Amino acid sequence: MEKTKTKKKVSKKSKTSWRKNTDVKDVEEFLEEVRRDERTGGSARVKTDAELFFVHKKADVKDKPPAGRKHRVDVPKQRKRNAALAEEARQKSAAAARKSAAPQEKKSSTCPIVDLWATPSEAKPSKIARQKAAAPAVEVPLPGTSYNPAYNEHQNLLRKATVVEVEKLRKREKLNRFASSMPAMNQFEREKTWVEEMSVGLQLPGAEAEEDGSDEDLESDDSCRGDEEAPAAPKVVRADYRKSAKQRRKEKEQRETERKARLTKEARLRENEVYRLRSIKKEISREASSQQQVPKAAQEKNSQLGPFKFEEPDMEIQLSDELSGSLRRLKPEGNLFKDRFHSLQRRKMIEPRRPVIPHRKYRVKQYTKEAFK
Amino acid sequence: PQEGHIKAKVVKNCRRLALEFLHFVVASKSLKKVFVSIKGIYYQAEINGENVTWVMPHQFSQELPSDVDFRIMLTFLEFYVTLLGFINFRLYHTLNLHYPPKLQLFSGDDSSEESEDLLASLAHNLSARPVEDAEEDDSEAMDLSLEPALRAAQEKADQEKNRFQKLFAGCRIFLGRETPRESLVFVIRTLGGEVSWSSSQAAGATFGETDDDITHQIVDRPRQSHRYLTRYYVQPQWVYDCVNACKLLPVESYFPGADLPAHLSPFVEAAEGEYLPPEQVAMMEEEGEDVPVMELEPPQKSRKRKAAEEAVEIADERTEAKKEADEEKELAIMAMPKKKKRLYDRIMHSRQKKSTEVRKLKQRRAAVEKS
Repeated sequence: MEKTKTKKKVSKKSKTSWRKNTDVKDVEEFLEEVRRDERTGGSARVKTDAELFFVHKKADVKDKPPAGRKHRVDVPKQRKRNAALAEEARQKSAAAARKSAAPQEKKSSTCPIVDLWATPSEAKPSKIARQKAAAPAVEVPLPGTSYNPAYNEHQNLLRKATVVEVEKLRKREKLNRFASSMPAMNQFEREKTWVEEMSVGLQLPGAEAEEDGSDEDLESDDSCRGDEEAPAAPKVVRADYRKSAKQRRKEKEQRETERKARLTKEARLRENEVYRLRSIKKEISREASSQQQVPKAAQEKNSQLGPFKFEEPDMEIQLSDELSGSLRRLKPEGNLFKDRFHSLQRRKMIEPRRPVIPHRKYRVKQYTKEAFK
Repeated sequence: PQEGHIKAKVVKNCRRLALEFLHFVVASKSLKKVFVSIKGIYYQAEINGENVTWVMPHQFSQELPSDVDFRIMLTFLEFYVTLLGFINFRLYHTLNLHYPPKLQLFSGDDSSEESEDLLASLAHNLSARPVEDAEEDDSEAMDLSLEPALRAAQEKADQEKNRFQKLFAGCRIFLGRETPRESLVFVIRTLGGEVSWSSSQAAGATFGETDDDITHQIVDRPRQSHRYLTRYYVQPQWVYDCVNACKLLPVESYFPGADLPAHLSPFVEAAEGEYLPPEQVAMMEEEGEDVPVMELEPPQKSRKRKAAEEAVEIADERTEAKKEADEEKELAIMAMPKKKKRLYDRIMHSRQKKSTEVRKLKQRRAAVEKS
């Protein structure tokens, strides 16, 4: 006989066991369906025809303009007329807004949408003019960079390049000079000064006697030096440098009084500022006006994007023997990708970056295993 | 974008937009200056009163440098591609052309590969949209309220412009295989010329090499073996120099194998007192333009020399008026306040430097020509 599975008897006496052992799945499913129907609008099968469809009694199609008009190009006359009409419409709406006395958000004042193609150049917003003056997108090329340049212009270009190179060379030479001005010593010379160098800072027995009196020192110095080659005595740190409790207390009290005096002074000044209100206001207004005087263009010009300063890339030049003179034999110099990338950096649209080259912080040590030797 | 790979469709899109812009320049005839440099070819066009300068690379395969962050560039490119699309649309509509561009050959056809290739060749005209109203073009008509002098000047400017835009009109030019085809086609077509190339090179060639009406053939070889007598054989620099000079230059100096004159930059205009290479002076004199006269200030002489020369000068006959004028000038200089004197000294110093430079350049040129 098969053993029928008896359901495990679970007591539902406590709240927790009740909550654990009830199955609410069917209720939840039903509620989900209800909510879904609310969201989507329900099954179309259940609804009546009247709920789903309605008959359009009256056509609300606007009058279409004749076929060709859509593609008409805005001619200056039409543009002017359109602009005038737009202006009228705007004024009307502004008047209506004022009448209604409801707080209207003036979107036009913050970011005016100007038709750049339609407005004459004088009326264009000045932001464009300022940005253009900063640095042109495509720099005018130097006449010496022609593929078949005139002699003098090519020389000018070479001169400019040599100035840069000479500067670099000068810096390198300077470093080399510092390195070479300290000549390497040989072993014999080094031994002579070795003892002196190595005993700097040491306390030697002859040193303490040298501290009394300077005149006597000269003699004793010589005699001492003659015997032992003792170096100059270093400053002796004595054991009685520790502060006593009294000294600490005194210092603490002094600090306290200073601090209290400072606080009372500050409080007094702050309270008296009430009487200085007029002059304070004047100061603030003066500061604000002086800040505004720094032109925004100058601020932008001086600002630097990112931590690195933009360095001009190397000029593209061809030396006299590299010049081809013929368009067919021309070997192009420079890369337009790099040129455009640097131009973006120059115009402060991108910040100049240094490439992060992976490097180790320690020097790699090399050794050969015993077995391989 | 996350990765710096440049996808093929991005390249294709960029090329399409660039070609559309070039087509616009061809259709509006607005190219003004061309300069071939070692980096690439610089063009300048005047569109809506603005000088637009751009550079195109020489037709070689480009290498992607490792120190350029292409992710940033691609991000900027996304913006510029959209912007250029709108700009092209607007420019095409000002000229009343279809956008996306359609060729006159394919009326009504959709873009097939053939039409794309022909568009890329820049050799065929674009088809215009039908204009409904024949409205009077007020922009072209002269403003009658102007003074007669200004009106004359405007007339002259317009005439010049028209002459420039028809520079290559009547020229039928055939391009050799070794020449930069796309750049030359663009330049020649903008100025009203007819141009073609060998059909094995690229699609869209209108006539072949054996055509009888060809007036010029652009070659870049050291020797040209097979020659037709009815046409001139010139080097490609002739085309660029003609554009910059605004006239058809004599062909003799551009024959194949000849020593070409220097390709000067049109972006540089020599001011007064600056050095002008003799070739440029010759060209300007040919045209009848005024060559800017150089004020050569005599260099600072030593005191002894100056005294000696003064003695000589006193002995010479000098007009009283000139003497007085010089003396007055000296007095005025002495009487200047310190600030003004400093400024005056600075101006004089910079002029001095300029004139010494000019002198040096002339000396060098003389030395080179002697050797």
